[in-house]
Amino acid sequence: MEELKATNYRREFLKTSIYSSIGIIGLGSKEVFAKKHATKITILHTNDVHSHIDPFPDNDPKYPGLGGAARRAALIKKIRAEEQNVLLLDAGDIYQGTYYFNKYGGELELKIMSQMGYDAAAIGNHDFDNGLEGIVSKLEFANFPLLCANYDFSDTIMNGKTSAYKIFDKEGVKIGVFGLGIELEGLVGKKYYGETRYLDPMQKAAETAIHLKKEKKCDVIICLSHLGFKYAEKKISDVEFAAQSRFVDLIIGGHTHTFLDKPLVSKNRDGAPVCIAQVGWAGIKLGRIDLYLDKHTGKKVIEGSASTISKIYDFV
Amino acid sequence: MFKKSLIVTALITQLFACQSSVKVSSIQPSSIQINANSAEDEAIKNLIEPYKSVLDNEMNEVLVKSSAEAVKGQPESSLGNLIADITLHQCNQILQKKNLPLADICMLNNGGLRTSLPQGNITVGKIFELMPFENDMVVLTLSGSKTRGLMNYIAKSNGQPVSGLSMNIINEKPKQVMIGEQEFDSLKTYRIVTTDYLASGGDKMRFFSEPISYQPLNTKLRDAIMNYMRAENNKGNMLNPKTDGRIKSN
Repeated sequence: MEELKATNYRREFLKTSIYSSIGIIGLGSKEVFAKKHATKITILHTNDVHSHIDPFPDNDPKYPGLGGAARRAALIKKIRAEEQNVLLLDAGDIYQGTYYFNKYGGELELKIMSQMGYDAAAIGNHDFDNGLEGIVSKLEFANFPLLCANYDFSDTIMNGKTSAYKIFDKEGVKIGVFGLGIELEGLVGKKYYGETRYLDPMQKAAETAIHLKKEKKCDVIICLSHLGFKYAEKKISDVEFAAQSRFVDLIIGGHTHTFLDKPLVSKNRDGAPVCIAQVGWAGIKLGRIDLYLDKHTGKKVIEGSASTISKIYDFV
Repeated sequence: MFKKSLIVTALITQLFACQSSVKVSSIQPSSIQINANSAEDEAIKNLIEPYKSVLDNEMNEVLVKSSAEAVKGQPESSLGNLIADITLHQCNQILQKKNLPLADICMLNNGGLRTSLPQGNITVGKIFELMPFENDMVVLTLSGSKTRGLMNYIAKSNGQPVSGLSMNIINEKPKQVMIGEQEFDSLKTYRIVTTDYLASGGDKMRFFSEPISYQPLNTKLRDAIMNYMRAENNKGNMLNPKTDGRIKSN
């Protein structure tokens, strides 16, 4: 406990020093903002975990000893003990990458995520690796929804098994979360995705975001995207999407296995800020975004960071 | 219990009001501790354990022994030759049982071989590492000109895992191409075993498009390879991976 206090103190100190250094809100007003009106939402996120349930072995050339579901669970549990309002999200490609998937077809991945308390996940291209049947037959092990606004499953066995979005209420703050999937043709065998229709992600995102904002009166809108961070060629990506978007506050991305040291902040078509986050792959990192929302003034404060899940001792 | 360390690699803070421009502040790295021994959640560990023990058991099964290491390489390699030869053998065994014409050639891709095989015991786990993907075996009948496209692809890419053919690559062009014992003839048709992934144009193998016939064998390539290894082991044989000069390049 002593250590936890010290840690919190250090984080608090860091925050206040950052706040005062930029001078938009001085130390005093930050205190007022944070303590009197603001609701704090802690968003934890992963992407492209790819069936990495065990940590990488200690002799792994790239990620020795990193990751591991049991450690991620402990970290999440610790954060839940500290924070009131936690949302735990995944941006897709839960499946494929270790024997666990070959052997059990994703059952254990989904059970683990359910037990960790995941609130929602996007659908990645590798989640189709055992076909639509490979998703549907394992859904019983997931107690969280799969979100995708731009796959039309109506002519498939997935019909009615997914949602475009889900709205979460955290102390009166309405958070709309929706999903976006990548184009399947050329990436996934036709026999796997069958009659799934890929719809224009920008159009579906625009429709969904405006619906969440105007009809559903969401205070915060989050997109779980498996489009990929950005591409050299002309292909829709999170960076591209952010620039074209409206009303979306956060894009939690995946697919490109991009390790972002910090969330990227860009501007949407109205000039409003959009935050893009992605934490590599294989459950090596847990992303964390703390969002402070003041419903009276409409002010939002977003902080983002990524934790490496490792057994490396930190001798601070 | 809060000794677990988590390394916060970076912390960015930004402030913005709704609909107004954002200001990004300086980035401050910070770190919080994680501890190795107590960092695992017991409930999740217990959930994983039964799955893991079954899996570890299966993955540790020894399929066969190998007299030498099998490694990837170009223009040909001990690993590429071994896997392509096994694939052609297994394919033809299936075709023979069905009274169907046999395949002449096996064509795979270097990119699909994901690890090397050691000398000595080859385990199930190793073969899963070698081929994690659920690719099925398919047999295609190609025209002579499409088959020439295949030869050009092999030459241009400085060799791929093949069986049933040999060639000299000279200035990225296929020369002295033999199919089995016979010279390649662009007026003939050829039967090629590959994976459904490559047959559908994976790794830009466009010559597989619009084949004369397309025949799924409804067998996973990984399963076929493991079956071969088990059978060889039961006969008391070892694997003997080697290069034999089937593809030479200048």
